[in-house]
Amino acid sequence: MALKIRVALMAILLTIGAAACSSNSKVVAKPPTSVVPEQLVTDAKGDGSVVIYHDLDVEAAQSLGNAFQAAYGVKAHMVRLGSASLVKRFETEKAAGRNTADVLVTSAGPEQLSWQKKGYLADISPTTARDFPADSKRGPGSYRFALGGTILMYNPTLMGKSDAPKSYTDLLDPKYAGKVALVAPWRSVVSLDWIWFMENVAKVPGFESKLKAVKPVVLNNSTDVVQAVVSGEVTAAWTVDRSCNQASSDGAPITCVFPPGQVQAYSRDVMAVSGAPHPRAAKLFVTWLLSQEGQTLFQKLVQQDSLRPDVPALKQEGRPAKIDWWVPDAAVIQKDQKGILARYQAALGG
Amino acid sequence: MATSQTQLESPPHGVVTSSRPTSFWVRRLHTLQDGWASYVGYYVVVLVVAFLVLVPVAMVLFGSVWSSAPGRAGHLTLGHVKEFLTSPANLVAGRNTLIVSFATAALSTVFGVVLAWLTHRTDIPGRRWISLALSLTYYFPSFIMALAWTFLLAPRSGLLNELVRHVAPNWAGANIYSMGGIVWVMVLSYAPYVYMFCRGPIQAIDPALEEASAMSGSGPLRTSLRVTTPLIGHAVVSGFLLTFVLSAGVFGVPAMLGTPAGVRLLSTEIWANVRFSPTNYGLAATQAVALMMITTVGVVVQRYILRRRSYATITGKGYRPQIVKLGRWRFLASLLAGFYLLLGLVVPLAALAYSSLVRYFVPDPRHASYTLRNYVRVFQSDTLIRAFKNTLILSIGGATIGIILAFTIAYLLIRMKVRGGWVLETLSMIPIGVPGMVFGIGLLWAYVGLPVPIYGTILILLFAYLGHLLPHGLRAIQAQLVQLDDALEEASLVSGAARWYGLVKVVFPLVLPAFLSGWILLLIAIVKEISTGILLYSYGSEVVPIMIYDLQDSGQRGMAAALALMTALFIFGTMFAVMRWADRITIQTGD
Repeated sequence: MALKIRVALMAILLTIGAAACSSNSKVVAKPPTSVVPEQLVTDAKGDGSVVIYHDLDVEAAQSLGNAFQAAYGVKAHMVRLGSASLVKRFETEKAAGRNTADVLVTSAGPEQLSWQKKGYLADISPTTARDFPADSKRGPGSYRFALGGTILMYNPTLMGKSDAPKSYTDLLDPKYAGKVALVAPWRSVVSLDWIWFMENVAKVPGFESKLKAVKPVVLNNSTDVVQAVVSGEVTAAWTVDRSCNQASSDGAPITCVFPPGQVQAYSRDVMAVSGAPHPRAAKLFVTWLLSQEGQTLFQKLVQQDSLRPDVPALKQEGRPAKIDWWVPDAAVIQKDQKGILARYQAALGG
Repeated sequence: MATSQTQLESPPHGVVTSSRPTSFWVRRLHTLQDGWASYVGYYVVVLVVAFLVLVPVAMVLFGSVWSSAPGRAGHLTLGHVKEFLTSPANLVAGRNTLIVSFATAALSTVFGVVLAWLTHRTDIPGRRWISLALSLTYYFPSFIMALAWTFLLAPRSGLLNELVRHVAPNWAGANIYSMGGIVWVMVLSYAPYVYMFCRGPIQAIDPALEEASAMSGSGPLRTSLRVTTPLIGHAVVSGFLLTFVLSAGVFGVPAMLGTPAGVRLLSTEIWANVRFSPTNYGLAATQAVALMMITTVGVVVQRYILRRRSYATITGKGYRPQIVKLGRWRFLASLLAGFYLLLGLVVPLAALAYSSLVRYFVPDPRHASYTLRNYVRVFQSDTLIRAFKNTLILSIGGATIGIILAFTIAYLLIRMKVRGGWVLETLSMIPIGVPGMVFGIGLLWAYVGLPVPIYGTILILLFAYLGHLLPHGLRAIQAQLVQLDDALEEASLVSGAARWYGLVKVVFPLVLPAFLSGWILLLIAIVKEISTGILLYSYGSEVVPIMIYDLQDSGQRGMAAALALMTALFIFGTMFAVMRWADRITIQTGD
């Protein structure tokens, strides 16, 4: 009996070890291209490592960091935070003069504007940023490099296709009362932007009261939303395309639905931090991430469309060939941010 | 635990009397040898303890009346206090905190006392194993228990709800995300605390009193209610009040179970006001002051009751407690105790194991896709590996420094009987009434704005743990030290040895078991601690319990379950080894 237990334990440990090794070697980095200056690489090696605060999927971010490290020999510490947590952590540390982050990779919201005013971001000009559309530079030290959309999802084992929501407004149908989920607007910039979109662009009459009436399950992040749909805690949800696509390709029983008409987009931005502990490694990371190699890998791992013209668009099931994106304007939404948060915290019980 | 508490409190406030009168010459020798060096040492310790305890408390009070964020320019104001008192949301959070704490304390006391009585005063089968399992449950971190119960009682996808639906398809499902859910998990967590608190006094009851009741014609139940219960009344009330105080300051359970349902408690409101938009540091500090006031009232009442209690039933004569024979009810009683352990230990661990082994959580294990990837990801994550290292450094380092500090304080108070010792004793006991979250926000206010490079390092966590957990270590050491006869050390002094020699060669070897058990208790307490560090950790200073919370908060629930299970098994393994070791020591010494 004891021998059997020992053998079983050994087998488990060996499996974990083998899986760890195979997963480590999953991402084999290509050698860096000439667009990343050699001098920058040499300088960055002097820093030794770079700390990246991000709100990506843990495994995708780790693979991205591993690829960067394999390419340049500079250790990338990937620190996962929710988008709202990232903002507060970064602001608190900056205010205290104790910032540990070198680079931020997130869906930047209105806070980004105040960071630029306060000088929290380093005004770097990576060589690879020139290949992006001109409006990708959103201010000193900040580049928008990828776009994703907010979509609908449902659990096909619990709901037929005909019953599933097909547009954003379908989620407000009373038949879904208590059966839909979304990310809390006080936890996610993207969720806050969606509410602004529904009230000011889609102009859904009485959106707040209708949403309140449908009693949505309000969760912390898009991963929780996917998990809630998979487990059957809810049958449908509003979420971001990358979380749905990642889970779907991972075998989760969910179907992702792009809504018709305008689709709310959320951007992915990279920002270099001023006064960073590893400024040269930070510049190298941003330069690499914006390169063709970096963007191809990012798009594949994160399932979010790169804005770099030489990276082919994502191919996803059910995704329209052409999407009418609505891209939020942080400067406009900033004015309404506090009001929206207060109203929806009261309405949704946050 | 209860015995320790009894010894710690007796006699109260440092008026510790020796079991033998000390002779004039020995006292004179003490005075000459201790002299100014002892007093310098005493004041150094007072300063250290004041720094650890008073700085965070003072900064919370300051933050509640300061107009801007920590470290920023501002002015004194009562605006936050006004905002707190006039906002219905804050008052609801305060009310909810009181409801949850009171319900948790009341129900935990009932279960804890019944379990203590059943396992130590009745003849139920398997009581040794039940007692061991209850002790282990005491060390089961409450936030890990909460995580486990989210897998069991989520309304539509909980494993237990799904199980019930097989029998009753229309079952709407019990909802763990509610105030009732918070109380449920807290009661499962804190009943063993009350059990540990009451089992000593229950064992120490003089059977003659119960025999007298029986001889007067009272049955076992009547004797238990009319004689036994009043005798352990002080321990029961103390257990109730301390559970009330501890549960008021808990963060992990309400954050996991209350926040998704919009159930606000003061501890989670403090966290939300610091971590999320729109931030309001001043209001968070005011909420912390309100929380501290609630817990302080609990502690003051508890101390008052302890001072008034009678020692009449704890006598010097040896006896074995009378065992109540339950007859045919003994198996049912054993089953009931076992059922508690099933819900408080076995089922949560099984739920964690299942959740950690599936790709995506589904309520029917037959339809799950099994994988080891959550464990692989834990070991591949730089952050989690760093969290393991930090936890190891902090728990070993913190426990070592903490127990040395506790020993020094106890020695100064009990053996050296320094003048003005009440100052040190009062300072050392303040953290009992200060929840971990309050310590956290106090230190945040203290160090974020200072040019001292402590914020963002594990040093700030070390300060927080040392201050917050000081009474734990002190309780373990004081209990042992107060039992030592002065004559042992005096013999060493009279023989011409210096005080330090007597301390090292006589006192320390005798208190070594208490020193080691206190060290282990502190180590486990640090491994379990989440409230104190949740506002203080940063990149590079991550620790395992906070990472478990962070993983579940960011949606990585499979990884959170894997890490939680490993942490729980580490704690249980350590405690099981310590209990076995303590058993062996007891057998060897015949104590």
